[in-house]
Amino acid sequence: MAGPVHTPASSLEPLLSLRGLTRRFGGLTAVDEIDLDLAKGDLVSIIGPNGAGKTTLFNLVTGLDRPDAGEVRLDGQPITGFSPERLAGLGFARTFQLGRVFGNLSVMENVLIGAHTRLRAVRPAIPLIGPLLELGLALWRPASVKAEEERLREDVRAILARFGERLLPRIDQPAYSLSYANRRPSRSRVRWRSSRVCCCSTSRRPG
Amino acid sequence: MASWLDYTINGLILGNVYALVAVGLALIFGVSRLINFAQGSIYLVGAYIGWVAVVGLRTPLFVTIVVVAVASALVGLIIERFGLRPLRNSVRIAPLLATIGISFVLDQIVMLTFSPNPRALPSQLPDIRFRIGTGTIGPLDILIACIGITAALLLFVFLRYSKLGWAVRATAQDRDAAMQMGVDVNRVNQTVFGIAAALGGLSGMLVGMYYNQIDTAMSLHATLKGVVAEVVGGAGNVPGAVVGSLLLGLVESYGVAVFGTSYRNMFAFILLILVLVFRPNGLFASAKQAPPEPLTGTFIAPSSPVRIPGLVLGVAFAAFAVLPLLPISNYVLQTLINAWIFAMLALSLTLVAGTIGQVSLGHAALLAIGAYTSALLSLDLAVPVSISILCGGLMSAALGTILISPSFRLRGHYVSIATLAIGEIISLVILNWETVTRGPIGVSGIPPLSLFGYELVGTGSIYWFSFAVMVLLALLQVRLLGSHIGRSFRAIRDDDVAAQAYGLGLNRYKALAFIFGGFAAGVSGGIAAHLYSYINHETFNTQQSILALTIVILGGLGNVAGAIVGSVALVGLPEVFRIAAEYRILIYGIVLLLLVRFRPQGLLGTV
Repeated sequence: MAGPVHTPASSLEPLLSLRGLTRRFGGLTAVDEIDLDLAKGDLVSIIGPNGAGKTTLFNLVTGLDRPDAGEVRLDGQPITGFSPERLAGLGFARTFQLGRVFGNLSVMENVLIGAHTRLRAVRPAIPLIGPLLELGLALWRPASVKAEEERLREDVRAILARFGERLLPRIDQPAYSLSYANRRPSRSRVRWRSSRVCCCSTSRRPG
Repeated sequence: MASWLDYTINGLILGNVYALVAVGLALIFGVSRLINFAQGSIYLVGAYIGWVAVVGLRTPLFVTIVVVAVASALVGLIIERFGLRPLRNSVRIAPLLATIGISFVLDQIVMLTFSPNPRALPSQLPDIRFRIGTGTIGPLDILIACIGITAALLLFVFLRYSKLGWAVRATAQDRDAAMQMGVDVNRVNQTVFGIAAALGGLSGMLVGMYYNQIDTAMSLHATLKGVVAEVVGGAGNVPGAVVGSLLLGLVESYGVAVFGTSYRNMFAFILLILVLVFRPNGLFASAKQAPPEPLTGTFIAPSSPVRIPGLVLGVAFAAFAVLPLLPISNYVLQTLINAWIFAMLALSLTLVAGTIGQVSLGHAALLAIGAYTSALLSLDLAVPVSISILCGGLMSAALGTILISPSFRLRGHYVSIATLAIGEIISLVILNWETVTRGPIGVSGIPPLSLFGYELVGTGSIYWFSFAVMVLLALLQVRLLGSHIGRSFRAIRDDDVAAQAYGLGLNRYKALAFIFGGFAAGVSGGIAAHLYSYINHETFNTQQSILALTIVILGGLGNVAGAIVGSVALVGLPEVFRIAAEYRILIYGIVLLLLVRFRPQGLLGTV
């Protein structure tokens, strides 16, 4: 995959921008100096034949792999080489080709994992003390933590009830249903930064 | 006076011996992505076959070599055919656990046949030394070098120029593609296990001759050294394994020259941890390789746990709580006290290995930290026992987590190796840090258990104390599992890549699991120390780690009730049936093997 692929459609400041992103595997340059700008509301498809480097590009942007050169910026801030969990905290969400789900977790738990970055009980981000606080909160479970968990569960239950009939036949594609559920927390209490969403999807077949 | 040249020669010879083990491990890893923990047992078997041949049958050297190679290869073939092939389509962790079980069974069979006492294995070669410069070299050194080089050459020719060798290499590169091309993968596996076992057996015989001594404790260390050499060279990389072995041999030899023999094993493990942390793909591969995509949710056997009704739990609790009031022999109570102590360890391991999927093989080291902390605090600083046990738990949680943290970035089988090595390092530190731990003498005269200043006299009160602590820890763990942390742990176990993408910090949750689990293990060790009144660096050894793992698998990975049921079954039942101690470990090994084969989800199911 090479070249400048995309020029910004709008004159707005790009939300996500890649500059000269490169990844080599031994002699093979899978991603070759990609420049890409995505503005708010953009919907961009990345297409190419098998082995073109679409997934590699995704992995580079979402922190699962590190680029050999180039940089990624979100809102002008460099985020190259950030860990996936840090990116998730910044609002990055991705799905996987094989529709990864947590096989031993219930549907409820699968959806709740998707809400992980929004949990207040996880917030204490202070190193060392933060995790211990989180452990303490989980064991002690004060009213606010309990209420938060219950609220989330209720949301999920509402979604499951609303989409229950449609969820069931789709049991072989749970990732689809889950990402839907995650995108739409009910009652618009959390707007999920809808104004900031920019989409990027890959597809094997052009057109 | 040994010279540097001597140490170099010694290091290279040691390296040659390790290479024979490590090459086998690398071949097996290449073909089946499995770290064969039974390799050391084959090495042990090879040494004893050599002993039978030399001492019993008085075979000439050449015949001895052939006999050992062929007999060991047969053992390897049997392991592959009956131990591992039935597990081909089972969960990823099953073959690893099976090789651990096999190694216990083999070691115990050898021990029961030949007794644990060391034996002399004469080398059959003239006892002369040739002078080279400032050092000397003996005929046995030359023999070992020759066998090492010959084996490497034969292997090279086999892999490069024979059709079966191509099949082995093809399978190592891409198993599925090889199968599609018509490669018989079973035959490849057999070949590889046969070769690996033959080399491992030879290595055991040579080491026996080199030190003129063999004993049943050789097995574990051979596995560890082989694994270290293999990982240093890059898992599955055969030439890398040879170089890694030579490097390990030299590091050990020079290390002993500088620091003394009691540190010998420490160098290997520190080298291992350094390589795993900084170059997890081995010294000869790029450290930045993207990790292979893990399979989703297949690390443990998926099953729905058996739901135990609250009433049953309540009745069981009440029954065990009133037990000391009933006319029951002290012996039964003591057995159950032991079971509760192991249950605490199992609770800890079931959280770490089951819930978050970090299969720790060095868990007994956490017991040791707790035991030593509590014992030394109460002895040297006169801290009240109940507080010192608490401190033991906290120390285990803190120190254990810090020490195990290098393994957080590892996956699957590597976690097991790293934790095993960290456990060994902790035990070696306890042995060598004499000013604090009293070294090999151990700590004696540890004050008995007491609570709020009242000494717990009588088996009944000790029983209640340990039972209460165990139940308390279990309830805490249930509460933890019910929170978002429990959910996050299980998500990380099922698919760490996806979990990361959802914003779960892997290090953070792994650390939390080890902090919580370390506390339970530390408390368990503390209670054990005050109960036994004497501990040393071998009180909490790898056998206990494996016993804990067997308990956890028996109960069902991640299953709190299962951990308790498992410990009562595995600690209690052999005691009730008065099975002799040396047969117990054999039974644990067999139980582990049967479980892995027929009920990987355990009695109560994985959670």
